[in-house]
Amino acid sequence: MIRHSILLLLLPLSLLADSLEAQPHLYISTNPVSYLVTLRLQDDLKRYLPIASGVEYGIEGNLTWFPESRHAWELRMARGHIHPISTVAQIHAGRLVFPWSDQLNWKRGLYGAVFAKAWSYRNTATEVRFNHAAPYLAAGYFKSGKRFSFDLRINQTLAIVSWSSLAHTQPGSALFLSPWPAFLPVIPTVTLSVGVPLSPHFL
Amino acid sequence: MRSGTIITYFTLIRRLPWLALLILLGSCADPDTLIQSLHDISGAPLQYDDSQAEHQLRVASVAMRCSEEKSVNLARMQTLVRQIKEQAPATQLIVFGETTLGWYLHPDDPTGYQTAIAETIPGPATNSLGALADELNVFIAFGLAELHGSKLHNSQVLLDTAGTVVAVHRKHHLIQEDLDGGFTRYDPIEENVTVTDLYGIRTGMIVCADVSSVEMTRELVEADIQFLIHSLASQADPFTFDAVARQFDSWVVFANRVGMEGDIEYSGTCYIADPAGTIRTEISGEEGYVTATIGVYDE
Repeated sequence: MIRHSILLLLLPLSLLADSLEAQPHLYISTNPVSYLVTLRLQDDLKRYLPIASGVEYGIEGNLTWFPESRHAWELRMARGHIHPISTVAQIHAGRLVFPWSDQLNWKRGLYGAVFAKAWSYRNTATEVRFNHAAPYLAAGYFKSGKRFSFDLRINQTLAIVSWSSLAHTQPGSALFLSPWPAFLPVIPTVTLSVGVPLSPHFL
Repeated sequence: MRSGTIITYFTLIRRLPWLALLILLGSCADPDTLIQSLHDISGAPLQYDDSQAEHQLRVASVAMRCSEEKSVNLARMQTLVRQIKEQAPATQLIVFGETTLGWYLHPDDPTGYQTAIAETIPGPATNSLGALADELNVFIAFGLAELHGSKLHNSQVLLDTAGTVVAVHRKHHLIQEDLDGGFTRYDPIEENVTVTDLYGIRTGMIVCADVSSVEMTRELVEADIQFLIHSLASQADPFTFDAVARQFDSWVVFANRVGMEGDIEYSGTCYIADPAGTIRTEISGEEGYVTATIGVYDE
């Protein structure tokens, strides 16, 4: 019985290991700036630095999978405190296209990408949630070495759908080019990711 | 000393600037300070339906051009109150901005100036405007430099329809301009959270940067306010979205001042926003007022 239980526990791990073997171009990465923006910072730094974190806060992790050289799929997740009375959890999924990469040179390249993201802003004092979903475009540069990967991109949100747990509230939608339109009508954000390849084929 | 230990020390020394930077960044902020983020102010407008609300309140938010002379400001406030009640007779509450009895920051002698125009509560200004509130059957909220014992406070007072002082809020989260004006921070917060029943609506008050106080926010949210009077001396441009309403889960009236005071130009941006953060009505760049009826549910 114990032996069967151990085998059952090991089965998913062995399947995962097989899948990693079968998919050589898998990266796990994180956005280092997202950790920084959760610190207590000087006012203006706290206000504007999130533009350089892709408006991602706290613990952040990404999986990027290259089924072949010219495109990749990416999943991004983050969760963290914005300030003492709010947290935000977010998930992004998208496809990256490397138009100038080929089979011999697929460890680096410029890309364009299309993403969808959803995030939930929670006011921890009032316990009201404000939820949003938005498509966005990205363009960037990806490079992979033997031990590390590096990704720098610029993101531009296009539109937004919002809804809330607040009673008597109906959802809304709008074109959305800036998280702070009163400040600047168009604000692209920047995201830096550093990671490691999970596949032994890159080692 | 082994070479490995030396390498470790070298590595540590090389990283010291980064550690110092992190410590410096982390130590710059007041732990009671809440900085609005891009997430606080973003999103599509949400439709808040208050058409079936059990309680209604007709509110006016005033952008006033303030003079150096207290008597001129008091007279101007009286004129504006009468004008609002003539043009919008259903108005039940009129809100003025921060320290409307004078300039917010006098360029020459800010402390001497604020001390000279400061009043007690109750005092001549509250008596004068209280008589008007009684005559016109309207609540009036306004900001003033308050002499409280031996201290000077940046305060907001609420007068009821009988002209009685029903609430006083003394600014807690002071900024440099307040300190330059000689204002003293009012502590503790628990004694400074005033919640007033306005026709069945639980109403709180804050002054300007009090909005950045984490503890003040928690106290007012715990007091379950439904409506927040937020008076300011602000240079902010018109808003497309109100994060303060979402911060407190309440209606917000934002009352300001307009025009030049020394080298500083105040924007006159005033608005009334619903709990979803949607701005119902707004004015900016001119002396005047906006009115809106807010609807509050019992739950």
